[in-house]
Amino acid sequence: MDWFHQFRTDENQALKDIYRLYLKDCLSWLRRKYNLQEVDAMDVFQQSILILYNNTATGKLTELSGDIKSYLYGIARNKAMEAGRSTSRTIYPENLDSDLTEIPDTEPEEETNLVALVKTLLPELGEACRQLLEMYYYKDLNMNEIAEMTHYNGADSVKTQKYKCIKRLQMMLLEHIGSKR
Amino acid sequence: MTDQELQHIESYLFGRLGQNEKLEIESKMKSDAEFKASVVQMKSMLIAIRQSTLDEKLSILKEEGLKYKGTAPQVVMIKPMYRWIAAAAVLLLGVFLIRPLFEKDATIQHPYLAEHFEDFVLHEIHKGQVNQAKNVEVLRAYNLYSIKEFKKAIPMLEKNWNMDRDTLSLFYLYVSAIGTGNEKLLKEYEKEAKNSLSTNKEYENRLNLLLNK
Repeated sequence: MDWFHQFRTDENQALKDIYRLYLKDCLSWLRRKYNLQEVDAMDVFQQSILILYNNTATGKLTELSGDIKSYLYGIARNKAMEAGRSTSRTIYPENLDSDLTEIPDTEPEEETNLVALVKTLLPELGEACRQLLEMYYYKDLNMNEIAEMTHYNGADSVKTQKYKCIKRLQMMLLEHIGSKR
Repeated sequence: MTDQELQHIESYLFGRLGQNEKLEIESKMKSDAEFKASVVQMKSMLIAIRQSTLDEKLSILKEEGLKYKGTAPQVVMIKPMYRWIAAAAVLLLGVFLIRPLFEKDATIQHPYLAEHFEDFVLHEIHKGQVNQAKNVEVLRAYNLYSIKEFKKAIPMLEKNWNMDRDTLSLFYLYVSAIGTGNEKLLKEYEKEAKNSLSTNKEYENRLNLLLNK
């Protein structure tokens, strides 16, 4: 299975395929080798697939030195060892926002609350905007790449639309914050 | 905010500015609270966009896992038909009778909860619970609760509990009922909360803490 080709063709299907392919085998390996309960093994497996997705989607993983199974099991091994050490961690990969600057004198709680609030607003933003922002801010694609993958007429058009979308999201956020005061 | 200002903030957040420009922005944030709020909001939007993408993928994985009940842990209990009918009836009652009460009053009145609300938000730190969330709607209900949007969260939490027997939703529902002081909702879920949440020490301890204050 060519993971990258599948991913480029249909990433959701690629996720489902790899999930089905290694689910039984990986769960039984995790339970046997790391003595995990079934629920914990499932958590580790799903987190590992999510990390594989994240690394591929954000361009951190562009080629494999071994096969996809070795890569996935490598992540699962690290996660299984972490599972034994800590009980409080988030489901998101640690490096999800590590590229963003730490804003001085900001309470982490304030940021966390705002993130949770924005997440409730995103579905109201509309699918086209949400996808565009995801391509730019999550997948780190440039304007030309986005234009090629969408119906937008060139990089300038993408840039204008991206500005409108982020502005709209900001307005929704401000309206929401205003209405709570 | 203009496109240029937005790009400048973005460049700052992505670490693309030179040292002098970076210090300029940080100095402006110190003297201009509104500008600082815009920067914090922008960063939160970027993180939320990324997390939402992964939330969506996680829900795809959960759905896939449910298809393989033989190997995946059972998260949905198979219930006799009459229990589904009863659950649907409770849901309907919830929609028609209970929801309007929350529309009138849904702020935290319980002093201890108002001060320690963060201790009663469990899904961000307990991945096991989040991974039991089967879809984006469940996560949305959790997030609405975590930002104290009880009016919107309660009907969704009720749905999660009544339809899927999601215990974290029941916990959040019960805490919301105690916090907002809604007697009717408390009565409605008191028995279920005591029965279903007592098997989980963490839920039980936190509820005891709340009820004894």
